[in-house]
Order: sequence, then C-alpha cells, then structure tokens
Amino acid sequence: MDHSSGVDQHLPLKPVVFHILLALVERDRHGYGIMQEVRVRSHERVRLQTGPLYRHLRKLLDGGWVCEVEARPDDDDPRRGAYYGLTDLGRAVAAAEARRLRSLVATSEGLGLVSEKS
Amino acid sequence: MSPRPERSTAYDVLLRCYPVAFRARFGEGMRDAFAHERLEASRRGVLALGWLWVRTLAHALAFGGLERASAATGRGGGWFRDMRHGARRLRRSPGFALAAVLTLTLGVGGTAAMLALVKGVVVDPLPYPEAERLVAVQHRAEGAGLPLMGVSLGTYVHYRERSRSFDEMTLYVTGSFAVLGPEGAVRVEGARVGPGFFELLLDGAPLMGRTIGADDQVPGAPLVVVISAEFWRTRFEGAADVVGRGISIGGRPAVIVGVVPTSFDAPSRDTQIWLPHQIDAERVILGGFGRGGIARLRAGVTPEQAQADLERLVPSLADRFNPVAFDLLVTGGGLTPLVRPLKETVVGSIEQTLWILMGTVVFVLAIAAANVANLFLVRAESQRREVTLRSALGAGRGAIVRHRLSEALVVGAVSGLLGVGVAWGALRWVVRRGPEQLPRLHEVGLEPSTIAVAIALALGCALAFGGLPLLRGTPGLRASLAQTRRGNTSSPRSLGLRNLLVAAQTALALVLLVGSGLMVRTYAALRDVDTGVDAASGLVFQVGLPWGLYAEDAAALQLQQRILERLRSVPGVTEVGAGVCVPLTDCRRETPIYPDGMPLVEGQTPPSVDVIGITSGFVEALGIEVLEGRGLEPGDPFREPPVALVSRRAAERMWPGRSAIGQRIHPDYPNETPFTVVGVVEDVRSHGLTAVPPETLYLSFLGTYGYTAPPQTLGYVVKTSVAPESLAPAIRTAVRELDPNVPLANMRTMRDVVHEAGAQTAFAMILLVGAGLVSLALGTVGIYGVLSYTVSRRTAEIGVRIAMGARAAEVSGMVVRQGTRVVLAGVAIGLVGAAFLTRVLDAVLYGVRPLDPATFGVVTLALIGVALLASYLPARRAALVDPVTALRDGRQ
Repeated sequence: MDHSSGVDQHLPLKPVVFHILLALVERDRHGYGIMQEVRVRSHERVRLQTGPLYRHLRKLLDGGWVCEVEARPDDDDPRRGAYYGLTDLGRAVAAAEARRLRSLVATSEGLGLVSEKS
Repeated sequence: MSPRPERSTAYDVLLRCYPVAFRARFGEGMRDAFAHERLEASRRGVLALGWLWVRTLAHALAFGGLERASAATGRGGGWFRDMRHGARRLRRSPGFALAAVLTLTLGVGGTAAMLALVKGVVVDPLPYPEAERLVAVQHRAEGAGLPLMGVSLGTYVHYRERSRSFDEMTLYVTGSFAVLGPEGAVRVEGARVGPGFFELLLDGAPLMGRTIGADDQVPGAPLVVVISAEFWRTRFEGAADVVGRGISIGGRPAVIVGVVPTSFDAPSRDTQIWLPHQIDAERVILGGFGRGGIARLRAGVTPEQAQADLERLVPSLADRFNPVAFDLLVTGGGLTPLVRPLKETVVGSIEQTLWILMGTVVFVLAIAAANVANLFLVRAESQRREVTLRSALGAGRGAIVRHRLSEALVVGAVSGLLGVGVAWGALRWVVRRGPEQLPRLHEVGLEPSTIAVAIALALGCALAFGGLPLLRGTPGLRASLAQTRRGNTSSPRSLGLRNLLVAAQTALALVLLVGSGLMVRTYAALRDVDTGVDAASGLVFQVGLPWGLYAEDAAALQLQQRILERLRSVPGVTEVGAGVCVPLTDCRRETPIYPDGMPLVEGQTPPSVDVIGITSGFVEALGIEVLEGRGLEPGDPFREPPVALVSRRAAERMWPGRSAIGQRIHPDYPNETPFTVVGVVEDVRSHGLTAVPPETLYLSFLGTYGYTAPPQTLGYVVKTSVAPESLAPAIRTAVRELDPNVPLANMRTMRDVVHEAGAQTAFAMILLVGAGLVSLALGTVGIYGVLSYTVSRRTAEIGVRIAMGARAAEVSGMVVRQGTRVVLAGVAIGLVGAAFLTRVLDAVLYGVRPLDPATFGVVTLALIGVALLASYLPARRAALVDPVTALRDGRQ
C-alpha cells in the first residue's frame, strides 16, 4: 500500500488499458498474445487491433507500467517481437483499479441495484 | 499451435507511417499481430478483410502521425499550447483555414457516412445470435422452370429428420392476416413459423411472456400468437396484462403468449404477428416451395458441405412422396437444394451499388486530400520567410515541426468533428429517403468505430499533407532570404508538386463526373421505359380475406365478385379488375405450361412462363394494350372450356408465325382442362424496369380455381377518370360497407409503383451526382488556388513584362495557358481512368454503354470550361498588375 496515493492519480483507467494490464497479470506475453488474451477474457467484447494495441503499449512502456522481458518460452518464434510483462507499478495500478471497481460494485449491491448472484 | 500466418508486404508499407524508432521497437511484433488478424479476418470473408484494411489504414495514418509528431517534438505536453497557437494563426488567415477545413470536412464526412452505410448494410453480421452460421435453404428446379424458390413442407421435414449438417432448421411463410378488433379489421403482416424459429433468430429473451414452444407446434394445438412490441403499443396501448389475452386472427381465436422487441425483424421488418406453422410430418407433400428455410450450421460445417449433404438426401425423397410429384420435380425438374449464408440472400443485389458508391466517396476524399495538400504547400511557401527567421533566431527543428504541424492538427481536429456532423446528417437523409430495396437500412447508424475512423482520417490527412512541406526540410538562411528578396516564383519543385496535385484532382473529378453523367442517362432512360402499363390513372391495393370468415371457396368468390361490382359503381372509377398480383409489385409466378401444338420431345422441359390469374377489367384498368383477339369479359369465368390471354413474347415463342387465338394451353399438369387463348396483349415489364418483360399467361381468374384454392389476397387495380389518389377514401368506404372485417392494404397509385421500381437507380444517381458536383467544386477551388497563388508570386515578373510592353491579353493568356496545360494533362489521365473504371458501373447502367461518347464528350468539355473560368480570375488580376507598384514592392 506504500505507493497507493501515487497510484490513485492514474485512476480510473481506460477499460482497454485495464484489459491489457489484466492480460499480463498471469504471465508475460507478446503483442498478439495480449490481443488474444483480452479477447478471450472479455468474451469477445473487446477486440483490440494491432495499431491501437501498440500505441497503448508504447505509452505503458514509457510510463513504466509495462516492461520488455528478455526471457522467452522454449518453443518461441523469434519473429514474434518482444515479450512484455507488468512492472511493480503496473501491477499496483491494476490492483488499485480493481479495488476501485470492487467498491463500486459493493455500493451497487448495497443499494439493491444488482443481486450478488446475477 | 496454429500455423504461422503469412506476412503482408502491404502492411510493411503502412508501417512506414510510423517513425523509424517506433518501427525498430515494435515493428516485428506488429507484423506478427497483423498477420494473425489478417488470417482471422480472411476466414470470415472478403468483407471482413476489407474492413480490417480500412481500419488498419486509418490507424496507421492517425497513430503514425501522432507518434511522428511526439517523436519530433520531444514527448509530453505542449500540444495543447501549440494547438492554441495554431488556432490563433489560422484565425489570421481565415481564407486558408476555411478552405482547408471545408474541403476536408466534405471528404471525411462523405467517407464516414458511406462507410457507416456499407458497414451497416453489408459488413455487419445480421442481428441474430451466431449470425455467421445462419444459412438460407433454397431450391431450384430449372427443368421445371423454377430458378429459385424456398423449401416445401416435404423437403423441410425430410431434411430436418435426416440432415447432419444443421444444429436446427426452421421454416416460415409470410402472409397478411385479418385481425379483428372494435374498429373493424386490420390487415397485419405476419408469419407462420416452424419449430426453432425463435431459437435461431431471436437474440435474447422476449419482452414479455414466451415465444412459440414445441407444444404449440403440434397439429391441433390451440392457436397461440406472439406479437411485436409495436403491435402491442398500437393495438393494446401497451397494456401490462396483454399476455394471455384472446385475439381473433382471420376469424380464429388465438391467445397472445408473448411480445418480442420491435428490433426483431425476422422474417421481415413488417412482421407484426407470429403464429405456429403446425406441421403434421405424416401428411406433408413434396411440392409447394413458397416457404423460407433457415438453418444454423453445425460448428465447423461450411455451407458447401451442408449443400452436398442435402443433395445426397434428394434421391431418398422418392421413398416417402408421391411418385408423380417426384418425377416432375426431381427426375424431370432436377430439383437441387441450395445452401447460402443468410446474409447473402438478405443483402443481395444492392451490395454492388453500395461498393460503387463507396469507391466514389473514396475518390472525393482523395480529391479533398489533394486540395488540402495543395493549400498547405501554398501556406508553407508564404510562411517560408517567417520560418527561416525563426530558425535563424535559434528555434530548433522540433519547434519548427511543431509550428507547422500545430496548424494541421487544428485543421484535422476541426474537420474531423465537422465531418462527423456531416456524416450524421447525410446518414439521416439516407435512412429517411433511401430506397426500399436497401435492406437493413434501419440498422445503419453512426457507431463509435465509424466516428473514430472519421476523426482519424481527418487528422491523418491533415497531418500527412500538412507535414508534406516538412519533407523538403528547412532551407538555409541565406538562400531562403535571398530568394524571398528576389521575389520570383516559388521553388520549381513545389510548383511541380502542386501542378501534379491539380492534375490528379482534375483526373479524379473527371472520372466521377463521367460516372454521374452515365447514371443521369440511366435514370433518364428508366423514366422513358415503356412498362407496358398506363401508370397515369391507376390505383392499386390489396384485399386479403380473413380465413375463418370466408373458408368456403364459394363465399370467397362471391365476396371478390361483390367487391369488383361495388368498386365499379364508385364515381370516378372507369375500370376495375383484380389479379393474383400486380405488375412491378413482387409478381413472379413462373410455372411450367404445356401448349398444344408445341410438341415436347422426351426429356425436354416445357416452357415456363409467369402464370397470373386475373378477372375481366384487369388488363383494361392497367392500360395493357390488347394486340389481337379480345380481353377478358365478365362472362368468361363461366365459359367452358376456360379462357386465357397470352403476352406477345409468350405467343411468339409458343406459336411462331401462327395466330395464338384459339390455341390451347395446359397449365402445370398435362391432364387438366386446357385453357383456350382468346387474346394477345402487350408485354409488361412486370419484374422490374430493366428486366426483360416476362412471358406471361393470364388465366381467366375464376377458371383457375379448378386446380387451386382461391387466393387469400388479391391485388385490385382501379382506373380512374380523376386524380387516382383522390378516390382512396371512397374506395375504402365502399369495401368497408360490404364487410367491415375485410381489410384493405398497400394502397398506392400505379405511378408510385413505377417510381419505386426505379428508386434504387435514383438513389445511386443522386449520390453519384452529388459526389460529382462536390469533386467539380473542389477541383475548381484547387485550380483557382494554385493559379492565383502563382500570379501573386510572379507579380514582380509580370510587372517587368508589362513595363517592357507586354499587352494585358498576352499576360492573362500566359496565366490561362499555364492552368490549361495542367488541366488538359489531368483530363487526359482522367479519360483513360474513366474508360477503365466505368466498367464497374456496367451492371447498374441501363440504356447507355459505359463508354458512351456523348457523356464522355459533354463532361470533358464542361470540366475544361469550368477550369478556364477558374483560371480567368487570376489571369485578369495578372493583366491588371501595375508595373510601378509591382517593381517597387518586389512582392505582394
């Protein structure tokens, strides 16, 4: 929680940015891997395209939320381009956004807007 | 892992929009990601692939430009401030700002509107769950003269039992139903639908209640009905307890079980009520292909595989159906099932027109972009001294780039926003006024993705072309200042580039103008088409009999007779007739017939013609000319043998060189009572204005009842001695007086019917002519801009010439010659381009060839004339140059 105040200034995140960060939580991925992961996780609702994805990646890299990683899986194809992973800052921002959303959901449930099951 | 997709060279070119550093950092990954995207899109079809390229192009232009901009200026902030400065500078040159913004707005707005239209109508999936797996099941039996038809109950039951290609298969038949209520009967468009219809097509749950279930589909089950939200609002004032209420449909009591949203448009937009199509699988017959078949492919099955699967099932139809019907349809007719993606059957023929229009708009965008490029080049020239001074005073390259691009950014942003407004307005117009043939028009809207593309296009164009002068770099201080002092024309390279742009604009404008010229001629030709009917004084409408009330054939016949008699007595009516359908209103009734005296060789198929049952008065009310013999008379229905009329082309084919009168025809079955031909009538363009008039057999209407039940719905034609629309109320009253439960629908003047048949062409023509005029205007502005700028730069030189004794006419001639040379070059290129490109119009043209010399000639002359006019004003200004002022000031 040490950098929570610094992290909060980035919130709320654009949904797409949040999706990109989420895609990198479990493991490092290359660009196309991120596109696929976002698509699957969002149940096909969010379909990132190459151009916008890399524009976001450039900003995330410059902002220090995401970094290039050297390690690559064994079956990797060198033509895939770089692999990307979350930095501590990126992880903290994503977590902060998740907490923000959770408290919104809790409020909605408290008001009876949605039931916890639906 | 999936196989590695192939990489695209075209994408490598697009990547060049991004700055070098960005490419070095992300290029590999982007190529890889795009290769996958492309592979996925190509699996979804050509349209998805095209759409991917459009979006990728827009992304590359916009993001590439933005990345370049931030790379050139050092990253972070400052852009807002720069844009404010840019805006301020633009305010000081309102002429330039206005011209650039207007031009780009028109181009971008038009493109965005057209994109939205093409996307909504052609590209987007149909609004059904898993729409890409939905297919239409159809048949053809060319041997029986049936080129395209739906499914029959027999084939449906057979396929549904035995085919392994479908998750589910359903069918529907549309019709109009008389719904009784307190204020009399209304005719409501409805559909009887088979099992699974809602499961296949309704996305989500019904608004209220339920849809038609399996129990309701059992023969003999109590009649239930699902209604549309619109019907619920208009007929039941949106009552909350509508589910469970009783309603009388066609005289039969039914219970409302559910309400579906208005957006549910299957099988058609007009459908208001849905009833179960109760099918007794043991009692269905093979024939009767008037039903629509829809199925969802099992995962991984292609339409081709499904079709092959159904083809395998055709021979086994012999096991369960009447051998006579099987021989007629399968052995003789060559019955073949067709499985096509549902969308193809929905979008159909309009697709080509839309792509042509899309191409047109892209041309307009290209012209607009050339204009903007030209304007920015001129602007850069005029700012040359300012820029040189700035760099002399220590401004870095970044600051100079920012200075240049800030204006472009403002122009791009403003035109992007205005362009979205233009697109919105244009779409509203199209949705309101577009032709009926344009399917799914109500689904068209300005979506966020289209708005994003519009703004990206505007920014991309502005940045790309606003940045064009940067490519030439910043001139050295001394060279630049010296050059400015000398006050000669601008650098030859930039002049060359500008001339090139003007020539390109002219060429594109010429292509567009030729295209719109050809469409105007097509439209004119359509207006002159002799439809074979007299459209001026006809009024047409339909009357549907409520089934329950007129279940007996005799009662139905009697009512139809009484309606005809009653209408005849309405003042102003001179002639009345009725037919199974009215020409130009979905009147395709192709049926094989067996004329006497035209011997059929074994294995040869009988001729197939439109067979239409009509009453006496029908031919006369429509103004169809009787060429030989007589028309039908009121006594004909009771004559034995029954009588018929044939159209001229039918008579010429069946009895060449002989009189048709007295010949006998067996419609459909060789063993029915033959009809005797008593008259030959003029051909009618029943299938559409540009379609060949069909060969038609008009059977004396009541006589045809021997082999079919009386039709539920009849088309009535009334010829009037007064303005046809003025009789509408009297006709409604007359029918209501006979039986208030009989609804009357689709009343239109015959003139409207003919007009609507040409609506698609008129629509394409209006859009093409609009694009042509815009391109002409933009081209004119381009020529004018370049020449007037040249004149202002050459003022000193012109001053010298005049001082040395050049006459005004010589000076202005020089300027006009310069303009004309460029324009002529453009015209030459444009003529070649038009000769190639108008070929794609061939399918939508009528009465004019794609290479029509008159159109090419007139358009070329008009364009040259306008270009001369555009060069005249600058030329006159050149001739009026005062040598003393010009030489003293050096430049102005």
